[in-house]
Amino acid sequence: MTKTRIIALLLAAIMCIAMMPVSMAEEHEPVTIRFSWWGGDGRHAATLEVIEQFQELYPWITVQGEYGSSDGYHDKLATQLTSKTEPDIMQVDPETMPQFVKSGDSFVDLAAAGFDFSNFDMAAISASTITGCYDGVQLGVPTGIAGACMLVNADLAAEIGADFTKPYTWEDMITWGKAAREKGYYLLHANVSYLDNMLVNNYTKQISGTTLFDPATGELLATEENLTKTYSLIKDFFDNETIAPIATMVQYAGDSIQSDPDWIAGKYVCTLTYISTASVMIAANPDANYIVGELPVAEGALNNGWIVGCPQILAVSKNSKNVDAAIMFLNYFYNNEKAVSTLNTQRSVPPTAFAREIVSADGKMDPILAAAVDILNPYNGLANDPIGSTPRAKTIIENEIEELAYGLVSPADAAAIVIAEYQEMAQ
Amino acid sequence: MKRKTISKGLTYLFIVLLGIALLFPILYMVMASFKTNNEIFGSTAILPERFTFEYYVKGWAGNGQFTYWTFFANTFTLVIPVVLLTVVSCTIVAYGFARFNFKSKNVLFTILLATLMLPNTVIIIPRYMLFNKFGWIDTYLPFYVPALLGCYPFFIYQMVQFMRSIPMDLDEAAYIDGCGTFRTLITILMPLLKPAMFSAGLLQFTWTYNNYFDTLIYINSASKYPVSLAMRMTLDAESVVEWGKVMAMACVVVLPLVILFFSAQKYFVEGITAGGVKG
Repeated sequence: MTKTRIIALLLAAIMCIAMMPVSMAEEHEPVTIRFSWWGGDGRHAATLEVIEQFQELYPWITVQGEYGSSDGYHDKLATQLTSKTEPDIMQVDPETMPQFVKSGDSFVDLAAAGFDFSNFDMAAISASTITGCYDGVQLGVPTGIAGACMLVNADLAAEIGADFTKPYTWEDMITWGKAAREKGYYLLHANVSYLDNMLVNNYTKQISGTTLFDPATGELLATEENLTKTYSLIKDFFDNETIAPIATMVQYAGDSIQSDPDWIAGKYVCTLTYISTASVMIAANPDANYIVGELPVAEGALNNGWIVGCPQILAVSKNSKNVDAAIMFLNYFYNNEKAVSTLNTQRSVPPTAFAREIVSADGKMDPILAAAVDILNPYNGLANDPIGSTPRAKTIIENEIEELAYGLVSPADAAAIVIAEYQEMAQ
Repeated sequence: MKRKTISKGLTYLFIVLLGIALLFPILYMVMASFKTNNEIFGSTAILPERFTFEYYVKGWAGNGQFTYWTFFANTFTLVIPVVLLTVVSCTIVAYGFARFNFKSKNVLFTILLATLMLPNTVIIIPRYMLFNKFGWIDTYLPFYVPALLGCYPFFIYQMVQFMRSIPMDLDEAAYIDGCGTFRTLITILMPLLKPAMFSAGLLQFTWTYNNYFDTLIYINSASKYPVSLAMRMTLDAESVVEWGKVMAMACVVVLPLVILFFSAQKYFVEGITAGGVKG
């Protein structure tokens, strides 16, 4: 009797064990989702590790990584979006995303799809398209905090008697620049595109209190008078050698700014860079002693100009057949402690206080990055308008910076040329 | 006599200097593969401070998910069939144009030449959409099938020119001996076409091997990346790039091309000049 009972019990137990995986498999059909991103080695390794962790937790979901460099990434994404072959989850540049949103209904409303935004400061991220919010609908989740960072070589700053830790103006920089030249340094490391993005963009906002174009109507708001002031400031920077001569700058245009041998040799006092690029700049000259300074604001500024943005956005495709699995992955990616700890600052400083605490506790938060975020946070400038951020609008400004630097035009001429071309672009 | 020696000496000096200037980037690449970032950007010395294969080992390991074994295997799976298919299909198409008379041959040949002038960028979007409809995205079929169907007018044109230089008498002699048209191509013309076929194959090998944009557009999964995509994977403006690693892998990646060129140099030069001069 007992023997039969034991055998029956054993059999029942075996049956239960044997049936467990079957019932689990029945509940969940195997699903594959695609996730594309750009980055370097560190980001690839961290993201792949998070994917592995996620797959262990949800064995029926396979996340296929499609990753590479930023070179050609958005050309490919544009092609994929047009022919509806885009990945389920994609990393998008916040400045490029408005074009994709405008040209087609491509992205899922994440809040409606069930993404858990509870760790996010909604007031901050729903403020602009830069953080993925379009007409009140959150189409993307920011991957981190980005924005300007005044990276200062502290020893050189002390040597020339410049204090970047207190509020200062652009004119103060010219004065410090003269002191720097006496010691054989340049004050500010920049190239034409950085002058455009950092100086023109913010100084114009500061003196006029508006963006170049009206973000809502597309009307031209910039005036010739204000642009003349901006170009005069740039001319003063060049004339007083606050920045290196244009002939040096053009060799390290765009993103190759960190390869300037004078930066590597520590001959610049400071650079106005991005939080996400600061570590690249530090790596180019790792032995210097860096601090993060305040950001320059014009005297009597109507708006302080500087904004808190984000370096990338993750969005989910509307054509995805597995939106639920994609959202599950994003929830893991942003809201799981282990995932956040693995990703640390690979996509800039994390976007949520929750994640920042974990990364700091791990000791993985770069003190420079943490300082840069703390300094940037109180600034509340106007978000850039969509027309003024187009490549065409930027090229017009940058061409005139070059012509001005070569002495071909006066600040007033440069402003007149820009206004004439901008009037054509205005809607 | 003396003047002749001097002028010869000057010529050699010029050639040697030019050779050094041309080889310098390659020398720089090899040397940089042993250097740290600080050495690359901070010093002008061409020789590295130490010779270590550290970057080769690190670079070969790839990104943690796939190593360069995978990337090289992918590259050859992609490139070798494309080269073979291109050579076969282009030879057959060129044979038709060079040896047979058929209705609207000239019109077709003009169209073929017209497609030669068409820049790749123009057709990339319609091609992508077409291949997408066929379900070929993220496979190597967008590379294999055009090669199979003779979609490389440049090589067809080169082969036609080369074939025209081979006397018709050879074909006719073969016909008299009872050879069919296909057999004539295989047994009579092919041995003579060898230089042209080699040069087409070599050029196609290099072009497909170096092709970045098409592979970027058509291949999605990292598991299928050829070396051209794998190389770019480590370069990013937002990350610190270990240039030594990139340079080390660049050295490894150019090796197959260098070996191929040296071993097939004889045919290659012969093929290019023969196709170009006679016509």
